[in-house]
Amino acid sequence: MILKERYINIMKEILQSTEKVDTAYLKTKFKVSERTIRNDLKEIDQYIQSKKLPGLTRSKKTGIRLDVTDIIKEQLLEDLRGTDQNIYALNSEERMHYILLYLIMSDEPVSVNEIADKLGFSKNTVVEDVKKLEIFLESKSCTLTKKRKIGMEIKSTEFQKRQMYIDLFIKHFNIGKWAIISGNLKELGMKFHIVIQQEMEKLLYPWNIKTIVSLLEEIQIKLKLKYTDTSINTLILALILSKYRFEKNQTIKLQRFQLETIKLSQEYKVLGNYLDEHKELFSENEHERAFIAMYMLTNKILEQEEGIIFDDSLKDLREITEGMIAVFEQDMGIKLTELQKDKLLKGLMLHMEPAVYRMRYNIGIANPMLEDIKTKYKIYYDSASKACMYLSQQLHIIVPEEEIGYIGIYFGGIMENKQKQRVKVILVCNAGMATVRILETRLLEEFQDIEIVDYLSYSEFSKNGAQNAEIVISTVKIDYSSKPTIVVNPLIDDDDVNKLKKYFAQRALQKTYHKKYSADQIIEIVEKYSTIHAKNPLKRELESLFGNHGKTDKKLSQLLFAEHVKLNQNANDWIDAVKLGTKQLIKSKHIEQSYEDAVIENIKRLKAYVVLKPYVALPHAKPEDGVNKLGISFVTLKKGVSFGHEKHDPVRLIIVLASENPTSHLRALNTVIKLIKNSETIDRLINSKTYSEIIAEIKTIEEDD
Amino acid sequence: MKILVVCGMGLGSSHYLLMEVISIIKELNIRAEIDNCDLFTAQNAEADVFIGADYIINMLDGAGVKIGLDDILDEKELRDKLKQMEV
Repeated sequence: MILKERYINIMKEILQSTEKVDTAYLKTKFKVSERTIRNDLKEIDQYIQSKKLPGLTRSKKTGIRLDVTDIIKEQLLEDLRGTDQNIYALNSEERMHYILLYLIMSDEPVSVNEIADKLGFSKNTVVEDVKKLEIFLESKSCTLTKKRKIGMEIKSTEFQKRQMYIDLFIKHFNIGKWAIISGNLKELGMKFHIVIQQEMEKLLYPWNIKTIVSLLEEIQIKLKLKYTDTSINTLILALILSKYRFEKNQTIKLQRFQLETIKLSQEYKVLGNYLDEHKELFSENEHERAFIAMYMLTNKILEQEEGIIFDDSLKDLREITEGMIAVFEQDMGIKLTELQKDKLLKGLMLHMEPAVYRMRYNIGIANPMLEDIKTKYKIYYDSASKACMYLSQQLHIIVPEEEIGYIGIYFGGIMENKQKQRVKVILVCNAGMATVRILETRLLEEFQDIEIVDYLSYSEFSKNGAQNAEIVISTVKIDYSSKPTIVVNPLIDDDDVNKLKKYFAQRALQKTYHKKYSADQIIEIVEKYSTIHAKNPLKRELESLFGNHGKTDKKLSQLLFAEHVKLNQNANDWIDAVKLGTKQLIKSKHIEQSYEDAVIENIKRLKAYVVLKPYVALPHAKPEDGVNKLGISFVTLKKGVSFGHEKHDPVRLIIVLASENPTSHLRALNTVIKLIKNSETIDRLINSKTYSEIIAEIKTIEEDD
Repeated sequence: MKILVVCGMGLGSSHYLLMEVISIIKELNIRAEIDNCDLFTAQNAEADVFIGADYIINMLDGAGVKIGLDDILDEKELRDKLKQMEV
C-alpha cells in the first residue's frame, strides 16, 4: 500500500505531536477540508490495521491517537522514513536540520535559492525554516549571518560545527541500521533523503567502514573498555569528519587547556600508535588527534575493567562517586545494602568518567528521557540534583540537566530493584507434593521476585500460621487475617496470575508511599507545633497504621458474626459464662484453646478486672496467648453469675475480646465502650432476643461516629 | 509529670481510659506525659500517678499517687478524682 504524502504527514503528527491532534487541528495544519481529513484518516486506519495493529482511537479529550508502545511507534516512523523520498515530505524540524547540515558543509555563503534548489524545498518554505534555524543556532551559541546577494553562513567555531553535524547526522541517518553495516554502504540499497544521501556520498562512501570498525576494536582492547554501539557510530563519524574537514583546511582549534589535559589521556596516547599505520585516516595535527581522543573520552562506555582510570585528575572519582551515593542515601532516607551499593557504584563509575569529560569539555549529551525522569521519577531526579551539586563542588564543573537525568536513572534503577526485594511466600496446599511442585514452578516462572519459604498442609498451617512469610498463597480457602492471603487454583490459571500481579503491584506502590516516613519522623514534626500527651500510644497507633498499609480497622458490626452471638443462655458460674463466649471463637478458629485458658487464669489471678460496669464483663487475654484473628463474641445470660466484683456483680452480658495485635481492635472496642457506657443500652442488649437486635444497637452507635 | 493508665491486660479498658484521661487533663490544663500498660508492667514502672480500676490499683505497691476508679467508664468520677489529685 502506497501512502500519499499527506497521509504520511498526518501519521507523523499523530505519532509525534506533543499537542492534542484532532480533525480541526489537522484541517488547519494541512489547509484542506474536514472531509478530506476524515478520508485520509480512514485510509491511515486501514494502513495501520494492515500492519496488524489496533486502529486509531478518538476521543474529545485526547484527540486522535494511536495507542501502541513507543517501540512500535518508532518502527512505524521508521517505515515512513524508509518510504521513497518522492512521496515522503519532511516536517519543519527535519527541513531545518537538513538545511543546517547543508550549511555546515558549505564553505561559502549559500543563498536561499540554492538551498531551495538543492534540497527540493520551495523558496518560501526555506525562508520560514531559516527563521527557526536562527533560534536553534542561538540556543547553541552560534549565529547565522545573512548578506543580501551573497547568502547566509554559520558563524561558529569549527568544533561547534562538527558537534552539530555529528549530532544531526546520527539523529537522521538512523543509527540503528548503522550498527549492522559491516561493509559497503552503497550496496545497502537503502533510500535516504537527498541531503543525507549527498552527505553519505561525500563522507562515508569513500571509506571502507569495516576497516575503521576493526581499528576501533583494537583500540578498545588497548583501553580495556567497550563502547556502546551508538558510541562506535559516533566515533566512526568523528574520525571521518576530522580527516575530511582537515583536508578542506577547516582545522579544529581546541583551547589550550583542553588540548593539554587531553594530551595526558590514555586515549590520546593510544591513538598515537596508529598514526603511521593509518595515515589515510589520521592527520598529523595534534588538535585533530585530540579532537578524536575527546570523542573517545566522552562517549558512553558499555563496560570497563575495574579500577582502570588513567587520568590523574580523576583519581578521586571513585571516592567522589561514593560521596554522591551517600548524598543519595541521606536524601532518600534509606540505607543500601553493601551489595546494592556495590552494584550502583560499579554502574555509576562506568558512566561517570565519560560524563565528567563531557562536562569538562562542554560537550552536550542528549537525554531523550529527561522530561519523563523529571516528572515521573521526580524523587530520583531531585536526589540526583543534590548528588550532582556535590559532584560539581568536588570537581568544579557545571552539571547540565541531561547529565543529572542520567544519574537519576541509575538511582531510580537501584531503588526499583530494592523494592523488588524478594517477597517471602508460604504455600498452603492439601493436594500433596506433586501439586506443590507444579505450583512452585509456575509461580517462579511468572514471578521472579518471590521466594517460597515453606510449603504447608492446611493442618500444619492452622497450627503454625505464616510466621516467616509476607503473604500466603493457598490452594484451599483459608481464614487468616494477619497476613494477606491469596487463594489460587493448584494449576494456576490466568485469573490467578492477574490476582497475584495486582497484589504485587499494589504492594510496590505502598512501599514507595510509606518508604520515607516513620512514626518517629511524624511525631518529631507534630511535637514541634503541639504538645503530645501520650507519645508511646501515638507511636504504636501510627506504626500499626503503616503496618496495615493504610487499611482501616474493622468496625464492630463487621466483626461480630451471628455464630458468635449467644443470647439468653444458662451458666452455673463465671467460668461457664466465659466459656460460652470463647468456645464460639475456638470453633471458628479465631482463637486457640490456649486463649480460653489464659482468660480464665487471668480472671482467677486478677479477680474481677474484666467487669467494667454493672452487669458487664469484657474477658480478654493477650494477643500472644493464642489469637489467630481478631474476633469478638457476645453472650447474654438468663440469670446473672458472680465474677467476684464487689459492686458490679451479677454479670449478665459477656463480651469476649480477642485481638491479634495491640491496636487492630481499638475501633471495635471504642464502639463496645460506648455501648456499655449507658445503662439503658446495657438493659436493651441483655433483653435482646435476636442477633439482628444486637447489630441494630451497634449500628446506631457506629453511625454517630 | 508522668501518668500511667493501668489495666489487667493492657489491651482493652486501659486504652479507653487513656483517651479519657488525655481529654480531661487537656481540659484541666495539666501538663503530663501519659502512657498505658498492664498491671505487671505497672508494678515495675515509675510514674507520678497511676490510674485504673480500684481493685487493680489496690494491687500496686510502690511509690506514686494512686487513683482507683469505681467505674472506669464514668467520666464524672474520673474528672473529679483528677481535679483533686495532689502530686
